[in-house]
Amino acid sequence: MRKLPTYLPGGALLLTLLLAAVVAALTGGLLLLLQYHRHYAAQTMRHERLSRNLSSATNLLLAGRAGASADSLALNLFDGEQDSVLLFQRAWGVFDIASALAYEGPDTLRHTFLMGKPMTTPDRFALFLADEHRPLSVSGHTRIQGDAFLPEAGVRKSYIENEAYAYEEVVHGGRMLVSTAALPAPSGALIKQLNDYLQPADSAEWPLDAIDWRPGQQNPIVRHFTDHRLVIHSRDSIALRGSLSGHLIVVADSALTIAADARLDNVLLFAPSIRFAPGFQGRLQAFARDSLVVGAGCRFDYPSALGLIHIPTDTLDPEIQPYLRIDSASSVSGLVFTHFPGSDLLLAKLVVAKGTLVHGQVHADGLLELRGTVHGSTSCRRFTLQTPSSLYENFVLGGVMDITKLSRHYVGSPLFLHGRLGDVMLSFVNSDKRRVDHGH
Amino acid sequence: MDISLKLAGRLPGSTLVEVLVALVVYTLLIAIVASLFTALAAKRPDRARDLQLELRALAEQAKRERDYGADRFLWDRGITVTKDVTAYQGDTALALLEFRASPHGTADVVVHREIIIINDE
Repeated sequence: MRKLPTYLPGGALLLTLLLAAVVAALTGGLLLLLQYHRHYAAQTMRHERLSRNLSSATNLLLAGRAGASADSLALNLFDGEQDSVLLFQRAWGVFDIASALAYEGPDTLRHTFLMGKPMTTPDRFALFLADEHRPLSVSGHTRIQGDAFLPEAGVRKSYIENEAYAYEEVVHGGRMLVSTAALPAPSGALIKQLNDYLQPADSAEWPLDAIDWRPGQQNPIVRHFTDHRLVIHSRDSIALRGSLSGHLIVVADSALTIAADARLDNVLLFAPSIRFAPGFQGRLQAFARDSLVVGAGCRFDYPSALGLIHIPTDTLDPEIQPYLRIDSASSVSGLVFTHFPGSDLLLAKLVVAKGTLVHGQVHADGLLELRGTVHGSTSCRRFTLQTPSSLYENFVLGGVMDITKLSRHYVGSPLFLHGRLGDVMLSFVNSDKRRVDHGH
Repeated sequence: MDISLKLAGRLPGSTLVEVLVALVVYTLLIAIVASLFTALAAKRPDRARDLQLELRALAEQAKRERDYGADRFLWDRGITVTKDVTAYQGDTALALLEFRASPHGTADVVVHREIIIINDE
């Protein structure tokens, strides 16, 4: 019988080594996975803390802790160095633009938003008609829904243009209150800021960093709100086409025409005369000095503002009647106003044509011809009605003023809302997350 | 043919005892690695994160329900949660909402601090 060898084949040891290597690799993999998990958890927690700090910084901005005069404010929210934030706030047209930035090391979270004022209960009226000792006359399907501040002379139901007043009540679902001779006044500081672009004072700063409009400049211009504002200035009349978006102001010394296919988002426009071609759609704030005309079928998304600001000076024609017209089938979400602190003989005129809808606020420091619908509050010194045959004063034919259709959470402009309430966020305009080198 | 001639030129074989010793060594190695892994895993890096997210949910609830009173309660996992609301730097409109979670038997404290607007009416 053959004797068996006392040695096992060497393959057994190799197999053992192989098995050990596999086990070691698996264990190493698990440890790496665990390490990755730890890293991910730490990153999530850091992001969570930055997100919380961003929310806190936003609340500081909304509570007015940034201070509108200071350009930016850096602070630590709590004790320690980990909760650093930067706050920016400045006026943007009739609203404020604010930016909150939370950072830790190279990680940064930032968002930028428009701020406005919420409506307080006293602001929620359907109509404020200044008391000029003459009654308001209503005809046709004119409807006032909500509280109405009316002259002491009261309201009359009238029959004009073959139309009698269609309802029993004059004020629906609200109280009739006595108005005063003066309209709610706009914020003087904001009017001054806006007027600086329409009638630049010698001390105005914007011309210093303005760039000239190049004829034929139709390329898209997108300016992030975290970048310094871009002011484009033209001494001649211009026609805007193409796409303009963000932290951008267009100032023209002559007429400004906006084509129907122009894409404007959050920009500011200033010119003596502005005309929107029929069918235009966008979100912007436009301020004119002499006339602002919105063609038929235009749409201005929230938050938009259309304003006419004409402050008489020696250099301006005293005979001119500032004029703002919104043509039929157009809609504006936001603020429409005229401001003309001129004589009582020549008043600015605001026309809201039939079929037009304004969702927000209409404020006419002068005449208001209301043939369309206002879902929100309306205030004016005097109504006017121009028909082919006659001109009526303090008559409304078919106009609708309905405050109940405006959301309780509507946020308007501090131009006319000066309640004690803090600011409220209107809309985000930018939000980003990135790793940057701050150099702090 | 003699079997020893067949093995000529190959790796020398190991004795059964050597193989058994090697296996014991590997077993020990695996045990050490496994215990290391278990110890690291026991620290549960995601536990603090989960706690942080739970505190955030509590803060969101407090803000939604406008419940700004101080409070202290014990979760069934043996975690004590303390809620505190104080004026932020003397501002009547702003408050510092703070939640602290302390797992029982550890010195770790997870904190959620947030500045909120309380007087917006």
